[in-house]
Amino acid sequence: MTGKPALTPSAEQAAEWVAIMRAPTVEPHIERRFEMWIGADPDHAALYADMCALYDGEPLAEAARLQRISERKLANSWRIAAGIGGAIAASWMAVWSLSGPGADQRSPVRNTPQEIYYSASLDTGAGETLEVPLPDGSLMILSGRSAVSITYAPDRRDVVLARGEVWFEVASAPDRPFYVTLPETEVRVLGTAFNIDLLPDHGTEVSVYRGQVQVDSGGRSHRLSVGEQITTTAGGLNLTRFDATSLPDWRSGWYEAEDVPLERLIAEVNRFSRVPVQIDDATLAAKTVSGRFKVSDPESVLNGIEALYGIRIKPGKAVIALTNSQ
Amino acid sequence: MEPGRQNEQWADIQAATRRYALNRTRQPDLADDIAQQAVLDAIEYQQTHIVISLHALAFRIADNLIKGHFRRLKPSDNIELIPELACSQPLPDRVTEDRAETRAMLKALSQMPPLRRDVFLRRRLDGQSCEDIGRALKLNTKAVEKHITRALVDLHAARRLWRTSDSLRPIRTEKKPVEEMTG
Repeated sequence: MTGKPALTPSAEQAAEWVAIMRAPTVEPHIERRFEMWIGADPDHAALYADMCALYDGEPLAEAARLQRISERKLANSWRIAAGIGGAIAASWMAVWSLSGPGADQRSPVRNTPQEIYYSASLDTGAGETLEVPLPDGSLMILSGRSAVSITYAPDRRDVVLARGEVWFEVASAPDRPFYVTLPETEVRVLGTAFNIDLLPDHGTEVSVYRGQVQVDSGGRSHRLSVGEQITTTAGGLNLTRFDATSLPDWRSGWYEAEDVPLERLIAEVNRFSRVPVQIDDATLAAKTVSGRFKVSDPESVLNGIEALYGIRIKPGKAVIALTNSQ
Repeated sequence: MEPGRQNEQWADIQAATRRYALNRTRQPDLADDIAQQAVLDAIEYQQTHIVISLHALAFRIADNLIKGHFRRLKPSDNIELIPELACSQPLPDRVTEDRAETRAMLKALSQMPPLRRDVFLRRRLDGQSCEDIGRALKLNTKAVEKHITRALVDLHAARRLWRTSDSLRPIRTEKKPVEEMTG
């Protein structure tokens, strides 16, 4: 806020505060100034409430999507598919591989200068998912409590996954590889769809749904194909197969557990739970569980495991604690 | 802060939060519940955390509660079919109003100067930070904030205009007869 507040009309002040307060981080002195402004006058609070509701509301989000779609329609008609999601992506990937010299109206448009350089930092709160169409036609969908930063350069595309779980649909560009960097692992992609789940203790689970990816971890390199899944932990690598014909569980709010440690299930629940769930017992954390859990409904999961696995649930103010009831 | 003063402040925060929730949900009873819950959660939270802006905290909680509410209403098995609705499945009686408001917002967006619109869409739709947008478009962060502010003022004006014409329509019966809805 550099302007003199008394001279600007309140609606503009409120709008300016929305622009400032919706940043990923707000410095304490700025936030303090905001609290003074909003507390100073009931009109300020009312205008801010209206402006915030406008900004956060679904009508504006929908209008923004429609506006973007109409802009892209003008530029190129094929790329819209990227924003629509998994169901359509399969046919869209097929379009990609077919787009030889003959299929000119389908071929990817050349990047505008703005799109060659692109960067963004995104994160989601508990229970939130965020769909991120990228300028090259790739798509990322973030699960709850996830954080990524994206940097596009002319010769490479980089995503750093700092927390959480992300679904990727990567537009093929052989001269511009797509890298995902994780605390102990790097994933290199040419054009594919895959899911990365960042586990507790810097472990990683990479699952490939289409195409191939290369996973480099602990000085070793692995090429994963469709239906292959690799889990990296401090103990080493574990290669397994999974059903790549259905979307990852979290995309539907479910988690399919097959003899996984309770710790892992709770990590999935915490992507959705507003109050974090914590296991206060190491042996309990290591106990394995199986079943199909609706992790998007944390309460139902906790109720379910309470009786089945002899777990005591202590709801607290800041955390929900789990202990062994035996 | 003495207790009386504090209660008054919480009442103000609850009123602002209710207004926010009513604007979002258009359901007075739901807005009451959300505002009340948001204030209770905020009171609880600030007992164990340092909070600079209680208003900002209450709005954030209310936003999460609203998202949670609409998510619960949604048949979750269809989530992959309608990813764009993952955050909020509108109630049937909201849909028509939302569509009209969406059209008003779309019109305002399309009439903006291109740079203002580009900056705004990058922020609201792509979630880019003001710093990221500044780097991409060779603008300083303050200028980016200014574009977003102007865009919001435009959209706000369009929404007020839409609301005014909207109030000429027959009024739906609510459980509470008088309901202020400016926006």
